[in-house]
Parts: sequence; structure tokens; C-alpha cells
Amino acid sequence: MAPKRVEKGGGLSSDGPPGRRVPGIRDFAYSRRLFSLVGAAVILGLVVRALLVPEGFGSDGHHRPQAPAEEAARAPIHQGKATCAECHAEQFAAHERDAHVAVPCEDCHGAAGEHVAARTAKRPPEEGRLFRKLAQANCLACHRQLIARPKLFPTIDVAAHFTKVGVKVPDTPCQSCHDPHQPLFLERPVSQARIHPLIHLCSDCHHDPTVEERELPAGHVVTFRCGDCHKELVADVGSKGHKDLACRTCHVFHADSPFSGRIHKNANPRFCLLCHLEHPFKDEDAVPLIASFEAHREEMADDDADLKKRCVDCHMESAIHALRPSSAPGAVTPTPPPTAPPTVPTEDGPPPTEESPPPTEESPPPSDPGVTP
Amino acid sequence: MSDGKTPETVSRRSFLHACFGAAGAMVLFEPGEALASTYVPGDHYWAYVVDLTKCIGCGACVRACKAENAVPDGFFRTWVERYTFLDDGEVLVDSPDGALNGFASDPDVPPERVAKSFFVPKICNHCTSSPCVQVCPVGASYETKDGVVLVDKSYCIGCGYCIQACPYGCRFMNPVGTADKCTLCLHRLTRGQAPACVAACPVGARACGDLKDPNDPVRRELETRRHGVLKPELGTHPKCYYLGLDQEVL
Amino acid sequence: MLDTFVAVSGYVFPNEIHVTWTVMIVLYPYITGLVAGAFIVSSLFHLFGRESLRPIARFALVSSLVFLLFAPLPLLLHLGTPSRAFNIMITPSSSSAMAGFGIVYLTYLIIVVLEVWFALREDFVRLATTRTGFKGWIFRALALFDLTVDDRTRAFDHKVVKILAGIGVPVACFLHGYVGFLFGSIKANPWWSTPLMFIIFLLSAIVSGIAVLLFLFYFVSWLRRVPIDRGVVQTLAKFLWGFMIIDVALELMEVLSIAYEQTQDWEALEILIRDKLFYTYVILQLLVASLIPFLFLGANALFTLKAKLSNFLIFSSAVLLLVQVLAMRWNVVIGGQLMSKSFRGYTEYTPGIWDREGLIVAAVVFTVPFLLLRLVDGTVPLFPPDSALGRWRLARMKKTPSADGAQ
Repeated sequence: MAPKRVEKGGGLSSDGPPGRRVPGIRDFAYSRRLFSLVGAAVILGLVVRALLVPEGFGSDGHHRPQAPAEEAARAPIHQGKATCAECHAEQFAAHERDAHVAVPCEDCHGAAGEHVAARTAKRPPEEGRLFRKLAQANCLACHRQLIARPKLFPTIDVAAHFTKVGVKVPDTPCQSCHDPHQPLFLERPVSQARIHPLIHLCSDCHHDPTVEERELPAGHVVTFRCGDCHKELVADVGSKGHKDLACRTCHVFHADSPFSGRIHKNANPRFCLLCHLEHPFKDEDAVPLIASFEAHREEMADDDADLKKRCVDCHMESAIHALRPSSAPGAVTPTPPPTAPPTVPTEDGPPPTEESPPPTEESPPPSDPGVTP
Repeated sequence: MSDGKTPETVSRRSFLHACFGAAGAMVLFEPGEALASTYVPGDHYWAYVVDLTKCIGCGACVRACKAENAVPDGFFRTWVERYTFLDDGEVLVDSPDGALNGFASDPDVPPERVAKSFFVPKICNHCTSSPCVQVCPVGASYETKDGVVLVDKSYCIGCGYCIQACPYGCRFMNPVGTADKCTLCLHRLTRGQAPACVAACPVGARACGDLKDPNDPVRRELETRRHGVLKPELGTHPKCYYLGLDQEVL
Repeated sequence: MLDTFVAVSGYVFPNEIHVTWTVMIVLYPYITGLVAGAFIVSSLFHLFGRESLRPIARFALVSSLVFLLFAPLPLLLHLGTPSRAFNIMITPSSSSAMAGFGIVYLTYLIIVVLEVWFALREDFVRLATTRTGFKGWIFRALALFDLTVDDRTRAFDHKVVKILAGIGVPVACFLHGYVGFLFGSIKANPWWSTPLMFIIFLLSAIVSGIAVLLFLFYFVSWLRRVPIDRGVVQTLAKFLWGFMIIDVALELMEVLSIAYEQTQDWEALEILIRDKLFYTYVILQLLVASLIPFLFLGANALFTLKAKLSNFLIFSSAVLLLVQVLAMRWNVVIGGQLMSKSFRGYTEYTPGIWDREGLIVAAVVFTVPFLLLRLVDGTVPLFPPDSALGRWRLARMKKTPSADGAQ
């Protein structure tokens, strides 16, 4: 391809005056070559592009069709409580019947996948756990008193709670008294608790802690209180040692929706001991304390039958409230609610300091809230 | 798959001890793998429901998501916001570290000034008309047949355009150099498991369900209860529905 | 980067605390703007026959090509996974504004390369005949081994240049308009989402293109102690004045109409402008770098001034308008990300110095096209021989014959 040289170009500019007849692309070798080159480059580019398109791209929308399956192939890290139960049956059984039933194991303990990975790699077992230290913060993630929390969810102001039950050491972990697997030591699974109409407190809707003691303003919807139905019981408890406690402290209301409620009577001694068991971090003057339930029972027992008694079998009428036929669920004689709530100390006690020792329970039924593929 | 029956016949602990190697972890996930192979994407269409009246702002979902998906520090596939309305109409919103550790205290305002307050969990809305999918120049962001918006992390070039296009701040640039977002835990859904955030919620505030299944509780809830979506005016048609939504929530 | 503390005000979505598009995405539309602007200046001569611009037409065309070659570099530096950059051309998504990049860029590149080649062909031929050895072969190859030069080829080349300019102008508009559309089509971001964004980007591109040519023309003339070609600078100055008026007017109209409508968006944008972008937008972009050039160029256009004063006004206006357009890119790209899509909070951004997307790399990326332009200028004449700068070159060639191509 010897270069033809017709005329030595003296001009520096191609911007000279145009000739009379303007030739076409094919008239000159250089323009034929140039446009062939450009055409070849474009075709080469298109061929290379076509070769580089990933396999099957676009057959299932504008993406690699393999991509969704690749994403789905990833192994789940969280395993679900059934997996935990296979090894930790004892804790699982206790957890399943108590108030924390809806709290998955992995919320507190960390993902089982990490747990298993730590075990298989022979790392210390603690490394497989999310919460290694028994710190208040772990419980307070859910139960800290916050204005934004739904009012029916049990929350706590730690300082007020500690004052009430006489805990002297401010950073005492909640687990010193409360067992997260069975926070209430329920005797019967929450799922079997009796249905009870949900009773709203003034504070369920109002932030102001003093609202409970105020007169109901004119035109306000009628609110119910425990005493509206269980008059004698409420009056009775108000005259006894537990008068400062809210009904909800011992009776579990379980709100799935604003239209239903559950109540559960708890007579498990361990529940009473949440408050009444001696601990080094407790102030012995705040709440009556015993060193040991078994020792106390033995000391007080008159005969063998007494050795099977629970706390409420002796202390119910004297310290909590009388058990009357009218308190049975079927025997309630509802009285029409007053137009304004009674200002007398109702069963609710002084609600401002409503931090009940054990957080009463909420939460949906134990059924998995998840998917049904 | 050779010993798929093993987990039923031997207790997990003894089984794990028996094969205390890397294989142990693999076998552990085996039942799920079996389910995944029977999953047909076209038979499902996933939607997400958040009940704002239930959320307690504990942050369990955020922690679970981080563990399940190895979400890098400082970024979130899901997070929880707190809205606090004051008596003069002012709205305070916060989400300390995405609520990874929950909320340590009330906002710094006198409690009596608070008119209402609630938590708002956020995840990818898996929009029916996703702006992030629309703008992706290479087809690395896409919507699956079962209604999940995903990033093909082996194809994404990391231009960040989808991050700009998402009106909800749900996407982020993973430090490895590709866009990252909620996958609705597709790897769990295909195995019949709930997304990690749903499974972690102690109060049932989050739920994920199949709109193609007439008996799905989530679908029934959407059919019977009033709900809203975020920024509907943008025409993205989110599939994350909120019960008890307030117009101030963006 | 992530462990650095970012001062956030109000509520910012947790994923938005760190800005995703940074200095490189500011630089990218800036450089493409120079490409489009410079091309349009060259087309004012090639296509629209504006004779007074003849001395700078070819220089403008080659500048456009040089900037165009470097326009993708900031994008590449920005990509999270640059090794996959070609995916944008392998599987472009028809619904993505960004995917248009591959097609528009390549089309435009072909047009500009062809146009530059036809404009420079005669010089390739000349160099191919005067050079020997490897260099000669290179130039023969560049001339595609056809060294024909006569009136017919000149007429043909001229015609092709004109046709290519005719195709190139709409493509240049498209190239830069698409960059504006890239931002303007993001409905999630009220600071970006406006149909005006397309046209604002286009006009600011023309402004920056004219300004950079003016700057370079003055700079080269002064460097070579050559008298300023008043015809060139006055023509460019008048175009610059006109385009900047439309550009700034549109920029103001965009904000003023949102402000007047008092929508929910404005509540958030007002704080963005007042607090976060006060110095870069209100002070720099609008007051300093728009108002002053407007007055300077206006005075220059309306009154007959002494050449020295006029040159001062034009040169400083060109520099200020280069700053104005850069500030505009910054305020759009960075400003749009400072406001959270929660509309309730603002994050902050300070560019890094040494990181991949930091200021040093940005400065290098921006400097390289100018160095390349200098290199081209040393090889082929960019100014016509009958212009002041062309005569300087011829004189220098006579003095040191080897200078041609060696500098």
C-alpha cells in the first residue's frame, strides 16, 4: 500500500474555500479507508459486546437470570427456636409457657448460625452469643420506659422500680431476680390463660402520670376500672399490704389487639419471691424478705400437708386480698360504671408508680408471625 | 443431601458432636436446601406489613438483619425510627445508629410536651415500580417474579445511581463496591422461613406474606385493615404496607 | 472514611449520612460540559460560518476531543467496581438515563474523532512527507497512507467537517443534556427533580466551554507574547454574555418557582440553600461568579473600552464563569445529597484530600487534558497560519526547524 503523493500540502488549514464540485466518500482512498475503519471498529465493537453478554441475560427481565437463585442459595443464619430446642430442651420448655413466649431465642442469644459456627470452629462458646453479659441494657432494649412505646407494653423505670422493691445496687442485672426464660414463673401457659375483657388505664392513652387521679372530664368516653366489677376485691386489696401494687402486677393482661385481653392468676411461689427473696443487693427494710422459701415453709409448717403449701395458701387473705366467691370469673356481678371514676384508691393503686416488679406480659400468640409460603 | 434424614433421627447436639467439622454447619442447613429446590418464584408475590401500633423500638430486627445478612457497620438494610410529636405540632425524628441498640432514652423534651410518639420500622419497600430498578444502567438491580427487588452483586458496577434514586434511603454502597439493600431474606423465604427481621420481632409488629395465597394472614390483614404506604405521591407503589401510619412519616 | 464523624442536623436516614456521589461526580459533568461547549464554539465557525471565530475553531474542536477522552475517567474513578465498567455498554438498560452514556458517548466520540481527523488531515499528510523513520510512518498511518492533497480533497474535507459539525451539535447537546437529565429525572430528590435541569446543564456547558476557550486563548497568547486577537475574544465574550444570561436566569427561575410555590419541598430546600449551600450557592455561584461576569461582560459589550480594560474584563469573567459552572456542578451534585430524603435533616460533606475520589486525584484528572492539549499543540498546528498565534508558530519553526513536532 504505497502512499500516493499527488501534491505536497503547503496549507496548514483544511478550512480553505470549497471546490466547485464536492466529491463523495468513495472518490478518495483515504475516505474509503477511514470510513471502512470506522465501520469495522463499530462492527468489531458490536461483536465483542455480543460475546461479552452474560449467558441468558435478558431472558427473564433485564438481568442475569441466574441472579435470583444465587441470592436465594445463601444459607440462613438464624435457625428459629425449634433448632434451639433440640439441644436446650429444658430452657425451651420453660420459655414456651411463660410470658416471653413470643421472644425468639435468637433475639437475646444471637443467631444460631453464629453459635454453631463458633462451636464448630472450637471457639469459646461465648463467642456464639450476642448477649454475653447479664446487663440491664439487654432487657431494657424492650422494657425501658419510653414515651414512644405502646402503652400496653410492660415498661419499667429502673430507678423507681428499685426504690419500690428495695434494690440498693443500681446496676443490679434484671436477671438477679427475673429469669428471662420464665419472667413470671407462670403455672399455666399464657396461651391457655382465661380471656378477659381488656381494661384500659388512663395512662394507656395519656402520658401524664397524674391523669389516673383526675376527675373524668365531661364528655369523655366512659372508662372501666377493675373495681367497677370486682368492687370488694379492690377495696380489700386496698386495705392490705399489697395495696401499692396494680392488679396487672399479678394478673396478666395479654393484649393481642385492642379488643381482646387475657388474664392469668399466678400462684407460683417463685413469682412472689421475685420481690420477697433476700439478696445482698436488696434493702431489707423496703419489702418483707425471706432467706429461703423452703426454709421459711419448714419453719412455719405444722404438719406434712403444710410442707406442700404455696405462698398464697397462707398469705392470700392476710396480705393480698380475700378470695370470695364473687371473685370467680363466672360470679361477677357487674355494676354499671359510674359516670366518673371513683377517686377512692381503686384496685389499681397509685398508678403513677406503676412499675410492677415483674413486667407483665403482652405479645401475640406463640404462633410464628412469619410467612406461610 | 446424602443424609438428609439425620437431623430427625439423632439429636442435634450429638449429631453436631459427631461431625464436629466444617461439614457440621453445612448439614445443619440441609432441610432448608431441600425446600428451596421446590420453590417456584412465579407462585408467590411477597408483601410486607408493619403494624406501627405494636412496634416497641427494641431494635431486635436491626440486630437480626445485621447478623443474617452481614450488613457492614454504619449501613442498614432495616432500621427503626422514632417519631415524637410535640404539642405545638413540631415533629422530632431520630434513629440512633439505626436503633441497632434500641433507644436508650426519651427525646430531650419535657414529657408533658409530647402529644404522641411511636416507632417506625423501615425496610426496602420492594416497590412495584421501583425507581432503583429503573435507573440501574446495567441490569444489576431488578425485580424478581415473586416481587422482591434485588441487587446482582456479581454484576453491579457500583455507580450509586440507584442509591440516589431510592426515595426511602434504603440502599447504600457496600464497602466492597456494589450497591446493597434488603433482599426480603429471599434465601429464607424460599426455604419457608420468615425474613430475619420478621422472625426476630417479639411483638409481631412485622410480617411478611404471600399476596398470591388467599389464606395468607398478611393478605387477609391487608384486605380487612386500613393501611398506607410511604410517599405514595411518587408513584413507586411500595409493597411494604403500614398499619397505623401517620402522614408525617416519610 | 466511615469512621470519620459526620455532623448531622435534624433527622437523616441512616444510609444517607455518608455522601455517595462526591468530587468525581462533580468533575464528570464539568468536563463533559467543556466538551460540549468547546464543540459548539467550533461549530459556530464550521457550521454557522461565524468567520471571526476562525482563529480558534480548530483549537476548540481539538479541545473538545481532548476533554472528551478524559470525561469517563472521573466516572471510572468513582465506580465502586471499575473492573465492570464495560457492563454499561454490554447490557445497557433501556430504562436508565445513565445507560445512555455508552451509546451517546461513543457516537459523539466517533463524530469528534472523524471531524478532528478531517480537520487535521492535511497536516498529517504534510508531517508524513517531512518526517522520516518511525515518526514519518506514524504520520503516514495517521493519514491512512493516502497523501493526496488538492483542491478537490480540501473541498471534500471541508464538506465532511461541516456535515459532522451538523450532526455533532445535536449529539453534543444530547450528551450534555443527558447529564442534566440524569439528575433531573430523580424524582426522589426535589433539589434535582426539575425538567429545567436538562436545559440548565446544557447552557452551563456552553458557558463553561466558551469560558475555557477564552481562558486558554488569553493564556496561550500571553504566554507566547502574541497580541490578543480582539475579533476572537470579542465574539466569544458576546456569546458568553448571552449564554450566561440565559443560563443564570434559568438557574434562578428554577429555584424561584419552587420558592414561590411554597410546596413541602421548599420547606426543606430553603434550609438547604440558607444553611448548607449559602457560601457555595448564594455567595459563590450567584453573587460572585454570576453577577460580576454579567456586569463585566455587559460593560464590555455595551461600551467601547480600551483593549487592555476589555481584555481584563473578559479574562476575569471567563475565569469567574469557569468557577461559576464548577460551583453549579458542586451545588447540584453535592447539595442534592446533603439534604436527606426524610426532608427532615441534613448531612455534611468535606472532600477527602488523598483518597481515590479526593481533591488531589480530581486536580490531576482535570489537569491531564490540558497537558495533552499542549502535546497536540506541539505536534500539529491548532491555530491557522494567518492568525497571530499561527504566525508565532511559523516564526518559531523557521528559527528552529526541529521545533515542529518536538515541543
